[in-house]
Amino acid sequence: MKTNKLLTLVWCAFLLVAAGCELDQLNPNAPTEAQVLSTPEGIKALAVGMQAQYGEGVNEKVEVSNFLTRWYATMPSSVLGLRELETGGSDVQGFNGTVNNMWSTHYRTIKSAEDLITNAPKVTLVDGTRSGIIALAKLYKAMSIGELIECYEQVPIEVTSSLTPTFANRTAALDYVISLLEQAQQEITATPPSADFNASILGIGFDLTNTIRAMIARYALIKGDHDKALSAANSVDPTKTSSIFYNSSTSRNPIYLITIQLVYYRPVRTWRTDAEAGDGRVAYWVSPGTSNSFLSKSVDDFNQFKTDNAKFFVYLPGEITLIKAEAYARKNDLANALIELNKVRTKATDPAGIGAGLPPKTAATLPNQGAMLDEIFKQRQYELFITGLLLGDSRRFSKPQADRTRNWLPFPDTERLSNPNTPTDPAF
Amino acid sequence: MSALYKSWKCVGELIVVCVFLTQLTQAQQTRQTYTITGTVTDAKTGEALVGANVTVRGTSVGASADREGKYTILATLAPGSYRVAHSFVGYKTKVMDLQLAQQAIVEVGRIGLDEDLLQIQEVVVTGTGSAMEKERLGNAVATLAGSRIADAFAPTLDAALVGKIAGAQVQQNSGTPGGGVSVRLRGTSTISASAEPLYIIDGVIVDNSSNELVNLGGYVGNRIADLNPNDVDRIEVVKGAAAAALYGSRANNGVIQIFTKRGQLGTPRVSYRTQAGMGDIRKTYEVNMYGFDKPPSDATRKQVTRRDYQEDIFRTAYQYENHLALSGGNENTKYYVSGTQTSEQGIVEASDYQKINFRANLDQFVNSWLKFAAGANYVYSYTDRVPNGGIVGGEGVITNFAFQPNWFDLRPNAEGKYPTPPFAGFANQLEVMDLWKAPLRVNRFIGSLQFTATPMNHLSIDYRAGYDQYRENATREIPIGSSAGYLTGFSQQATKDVLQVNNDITATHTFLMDDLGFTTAAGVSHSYYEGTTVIASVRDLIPVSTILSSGATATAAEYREKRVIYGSFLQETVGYQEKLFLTGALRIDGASTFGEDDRFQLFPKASLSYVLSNEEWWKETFGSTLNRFKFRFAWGQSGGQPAGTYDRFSVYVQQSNSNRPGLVNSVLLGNLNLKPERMTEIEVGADFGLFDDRITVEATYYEKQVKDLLLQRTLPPSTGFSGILDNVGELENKGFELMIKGIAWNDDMLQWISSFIVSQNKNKVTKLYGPAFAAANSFGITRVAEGEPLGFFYGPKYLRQADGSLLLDAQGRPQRNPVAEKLGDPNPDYILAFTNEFQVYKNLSVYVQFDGMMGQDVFNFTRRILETPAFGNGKGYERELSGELPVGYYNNRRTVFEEYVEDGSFIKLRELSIGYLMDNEFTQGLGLRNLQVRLTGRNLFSIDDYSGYDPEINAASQSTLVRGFDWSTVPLPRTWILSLTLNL
Repeated sequence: MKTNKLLTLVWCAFLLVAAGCELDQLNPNAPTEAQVLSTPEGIKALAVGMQAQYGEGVNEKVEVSNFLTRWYATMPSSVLGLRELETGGSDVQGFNGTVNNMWSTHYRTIKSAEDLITNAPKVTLVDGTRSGIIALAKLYKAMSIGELIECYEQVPIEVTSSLTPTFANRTAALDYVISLLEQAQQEITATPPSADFNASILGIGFDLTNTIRAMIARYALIKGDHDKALSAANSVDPTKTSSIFYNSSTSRNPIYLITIQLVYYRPVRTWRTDAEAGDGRVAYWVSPGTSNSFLSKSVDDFNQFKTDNAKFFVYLPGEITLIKAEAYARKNDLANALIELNKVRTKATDPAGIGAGLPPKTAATLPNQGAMLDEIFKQRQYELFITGLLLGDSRRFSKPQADRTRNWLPFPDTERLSNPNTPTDPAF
Repeated sequence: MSALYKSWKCVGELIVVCVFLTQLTQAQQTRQTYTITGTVTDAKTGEALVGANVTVRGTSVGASADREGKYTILATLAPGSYRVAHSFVGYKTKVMDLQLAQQAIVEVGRIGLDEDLLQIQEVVVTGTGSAMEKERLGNAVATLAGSRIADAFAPTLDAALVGKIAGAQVQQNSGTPGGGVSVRLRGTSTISASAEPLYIIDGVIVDNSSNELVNLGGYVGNRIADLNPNDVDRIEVVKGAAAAALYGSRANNGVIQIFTKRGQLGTPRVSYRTQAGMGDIRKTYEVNMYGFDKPPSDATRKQVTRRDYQEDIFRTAYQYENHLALSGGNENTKYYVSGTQTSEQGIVEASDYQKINFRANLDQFVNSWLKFAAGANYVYSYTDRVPNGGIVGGEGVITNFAFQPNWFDLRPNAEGKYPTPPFAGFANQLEVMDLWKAPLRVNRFIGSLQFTATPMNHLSIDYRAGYDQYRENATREIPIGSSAGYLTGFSQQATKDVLQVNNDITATHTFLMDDLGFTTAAGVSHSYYEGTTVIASVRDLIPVSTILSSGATATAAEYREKRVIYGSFLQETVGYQEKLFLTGALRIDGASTFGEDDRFQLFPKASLSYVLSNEEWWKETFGSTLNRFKFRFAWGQSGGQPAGTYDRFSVYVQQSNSNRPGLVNSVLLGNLNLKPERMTEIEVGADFGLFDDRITVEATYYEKQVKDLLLQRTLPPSTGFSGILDNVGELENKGFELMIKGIAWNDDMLQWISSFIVSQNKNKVTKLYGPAFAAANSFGITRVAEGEPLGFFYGPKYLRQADGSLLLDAQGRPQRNPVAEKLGDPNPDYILAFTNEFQVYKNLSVYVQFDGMMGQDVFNFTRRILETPAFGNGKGYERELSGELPVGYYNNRRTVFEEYVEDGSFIKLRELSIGYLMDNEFTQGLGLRNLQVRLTGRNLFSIDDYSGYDPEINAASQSTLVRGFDWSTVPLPRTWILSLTLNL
């Protein structure tokens, strides 16, 4: 009798004590995936964070682009990885720091974008906030994949479903980028972004609508869909700019950190001395310098991103005009191409503060498509110096191999060692 | 949760079945009430053994002997043959056959017990489900009497274990007072988590963290230092999965259970011990006293006066302790109360340790079948600490003895201002000792509560609740104007609050059927851990004051964690004729740290013990010499918890954009399938006694395979992550343990007991995911690689000629081979101990313990910096300054790490203890039962080839991977302690 009573008593006491403590303990130190991806505040915060992830890596595409096209030269303070990009060829291997960083920072943004695209529709949000977030995520994912496919021959385009993502070739990746951008455009056309989205999620100075249009124009041109490029470029409001916001504490401009604070590299002086006399854009990007690089090249000083809160334009108004010029030229509509080209040559300034102030070209000086394209290429080099577009341009305009230290980056070792789908490295 | 309830339900049902079975078996027989009486005495002296235990085997019926040694058992039993066991701590158990028939009163008579000098017959409870005689165990359990702990006069309880447990590598990592001991039982069994064993005190799981709240260069104490060695009654150590499976997912590093003293039957006893001691450094470096700062070839060479700064750092350290204990009790109530106050200086100036410890233990019989026991332990300690060790940062005192050229006068000027030393970024060690403060305060309470019910003859139920709570508060205070990058001052305050609660219910049922005995134990347990760490710091202090509010530019951080583990077990032991014992058990663990799909983990074990010497044929053949022989075999599995509480979660971290707070995923992917590291151990062994147990031997061979080791596995960056903590690694430990004890002499005048312990362990990492890697905080020297022992040393060697001699360059300087290679292994091949205990008459006792480790390497980073020419404080550098060696000799040599990997083998005279006990008319006249004077020396000398202070220390403290790393760590002092104990 007493036994049963005692057992019951002890057993109950134990259950009471034990039942207070669950095995499903939550982590109080940081929000968990479940908390972030299933709540409105989590989704909104992730949309804010994704833009910062993109913003902290804008230096890498510029470095790859301008070292591989021989416009940058490393200083003695530089890290070895950048020097390998400068000398190029087989010096650039899968262990190279930039090869790895460019890849991983872009995929951090892509991962966040995919999480937003998948989860924003499942969370209770104001319609305009949801559409804004989805459009923003698709735009950032498209920009990230677009920048990667200009540096690596093949890239994964869907990454959250597997721990060993598969790779898409260049055509598939570019098609995917454009379709993402068009989906983004449809999203905000159907449901315009809410005031809350514009005021508390979208980055300061970032123009969602025009950036989507500009990116369609950019990647349609790269893909070779000149009609689409032209119509998209025409839809971009020429009075607007779109930029990444930086401040001096929590999000500092990475180009400033490397070029001004650390001085890892400087622009090669021939970029300035090769320019057309009187080109106002030279002084926009660089100022004359006296130093020599580590490998004894004459170099100038940077004249942009000289403070840690300097903004970075996602696209420049001049790029849109040059897209139009190039699309016309490639369609062999040289008259219209000349009109657009001269808009860039003659503008004294633009919403981004860039102006060449050069005299217009005449049809006689650019008699054929080849001459026209050469001139467009040259204008792009000066208009778009620190934007990360020069490597793609050099290949698209079929410039000689000698202009580039490499055509493509090798795939990062970190990817190859853990992802069996990684393709073989490009030869050069 | 459903699986958990299932496991509970299972155990619950089992208990019900047990109860039912018992009722059933009892009901079949007519039972009768018996009164069994007898007297228990010391066989040699005839004195009554007050409190001796008498039990009827196969039942839970028993009694203890009263003040005359008499006992009376009232029992309701079925008639038949029974065995009555008489036992008492320190004596061999005597078992008598008993026939219960018609007569109601049964007189067993006078039973004389022999002293168990070699601790052959012991009852252990750790890892066994219920109390069990060692003889029945299929695995080795090491036991140690509390007197060996108290009389060791070691700085901490765990440090006292060195050389006393087979299979244990006990290493005091620093001579700093306030703890810092690591214990490895049968090798290291993890890579990423703590390798320290699970500590249990009177059934309460206690925390033994090494909380590095502030940076002291790598030094950190461990929390076992809070416990009072004087309160220890005995210790049990189980070393691997085969023995510790019942502790489930926390048992991979083994279990150390400490039992504290309880009250005893009889008149109240008061014991007062006071002790005073002194310690000093055993060996210092010879320093460079050369009269010039540069070699003769250097035109800028000037005359200098050098100083041995070790004289400013090391001192003779004094210590004292007062311990008062009161104990007593009657048949129903027993109590033990003690208080201890300790004060201990460190051998480094300005290091000091103060501790107050209070304990109360109570045992109370509520009625004939219910016993209540409680324990309460409060500890307060205050430690003045001095940074030492250069693993993290360059502020250590000995670190700067190596780093600051000793021709520079570091002493303060007339205003008390300390000069900024020449080597930038490093501190002025005199200033660090004089002006910097790094105190640590610990407040701790450990409580336990236990109910033991024996509602029926065959069943006992035990409920135990444990509570361990402490606050550890560390500050660092560096006044404004300090050297070494602290020009504007620095103040830091860090607090860790820990709460640990555990609840256990165990039911044990015993059942005899002819030659077979069954013991069933089943239990459930729950344990809860909560920790909160808060760290705040400021710079830009105002003058004089160094508290947080005197500074600006504050930073603060907080970390919280909660862990819950549920466990349940079922164990069955079947004994056949006291010869053959088979045990099988299952433990199920559910822990909040594991992924949801892997939450419940099963840990089985099985063992066999065959006492061959109880066979008639054995007695007839070997019995005369090999009087006792037991073969044992055990197999079991256990688990290891991940280091992090929340490793299974994918978390998001702050990343703001456009001045708005945002979130992004951490680069480490959470592991939804996280599970424990799993060890499988096999051990085989034999325990035997020769010449009527004059010599006893315990020998064990074991193999431990650990798989599912948690390591960071690299993920493709295209996933948006860099890695995941995953169960991917494997390692093994193989070794043997041998303990031989013998009574070398035993007569009325002299009793001499010798013991020899040797343990060997071979550790090897058998599988890593990904390439070899260097351990953090080891300057890349300590590495983990497949096929190599954990934490082996790796670095460049000398360029050598074909005959092995050094290949010198044109100037006669050694050269470095840039290819890095394996340089050594910090794990010892053998751990040895040789002890001798003499008792002359009743009064004089002497204990001598030599112990050591063989075959381990030590990386002497201190010597490397001492002889680096930029600082050049080592004696060796004199040869370059005098021109005897070419300029640049030491600058070349310092790049060759092979040079600094030294053989760390040592044998130390660990303990020499001489005691004199007085219990004559004189003490009786003082009203004392007796009085004892004891002089104990520790670490008196070391036989080794090591060039540094001490081959035993480790700059990375209790680190799992970084071992044998000597970088300006405080060596173990040589101490002498004189104590006086008054017993009344």
